[in-house]
Amino acid sequence: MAEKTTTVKKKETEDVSTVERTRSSRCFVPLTDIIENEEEIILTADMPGVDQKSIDVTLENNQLTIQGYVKERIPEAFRLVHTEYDVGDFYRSFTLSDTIDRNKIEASIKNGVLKLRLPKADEAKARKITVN
Amino acid sequence: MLFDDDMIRWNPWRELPRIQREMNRLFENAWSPQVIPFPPVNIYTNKDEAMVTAELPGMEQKDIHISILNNTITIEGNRVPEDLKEGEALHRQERNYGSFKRSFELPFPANTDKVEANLKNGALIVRLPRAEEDKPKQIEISGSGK
Repeated sequence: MAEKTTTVKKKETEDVSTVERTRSSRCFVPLTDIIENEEEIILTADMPGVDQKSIDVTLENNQLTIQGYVKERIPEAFRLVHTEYDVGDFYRSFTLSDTIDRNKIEASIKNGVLKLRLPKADEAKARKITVN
Repeated sequence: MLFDDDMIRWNPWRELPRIQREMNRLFENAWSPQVIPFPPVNIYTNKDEAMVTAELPGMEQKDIHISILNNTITIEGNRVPEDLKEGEALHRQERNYGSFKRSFELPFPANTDKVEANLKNGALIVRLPRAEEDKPKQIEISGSGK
């Protein structure tokens, strides 16, 4: 019945090295899947509570950074009686190699999942060499 | 007959198994990584309402089933991974997949007609008003208070 239904607790961001946070809320590392095919690298990140308006994707030099801001959704009149996760912002950055075509990166977010398509530059695509 | 009230009296030896249990629990938590089930769920309450929230990124309304029986709420569903196409390589998989079923007991029975569930940006919020007949009644004290 149940397959793989366990996960390690949400990991909090340890090092935001170059950027100091100005918001006091907690910050987590979004869980991410990375898939590569011949044409592109697809990056899928879980960011529950984040929508198009509350996400920033930036590319500076070869550093791709994703940031998502989550509003506290719990009214004050409630008392927490059972807790398995904390609510907070998301932050993660990746270093891109030169093989990515920076001008063609596409980002979309749906149901709290960010999808980034990083197409490979033409010269980096694998070429099939026919053997005569 | 002298110690007839033994059941009520505090017995230090009876405390031992309890202490042992507590210690075991402490060490279990300290050494194993803190593993929590998917999806993670938080429960909030106040005296009139309970609120159950869960993080279900990437899931659609139709993929999630919520049921309530007496004061137990059950959330179930299946998070299906995207199939790898030919020529695709998976470099990293951190996101969770699979079917899940999670049940929680609420501190009071809910008014099942008035339960509201809302899924927005992968965050689920279920609001469960307390059943009217379960709410505590304030009783007026009659008579002159002199």
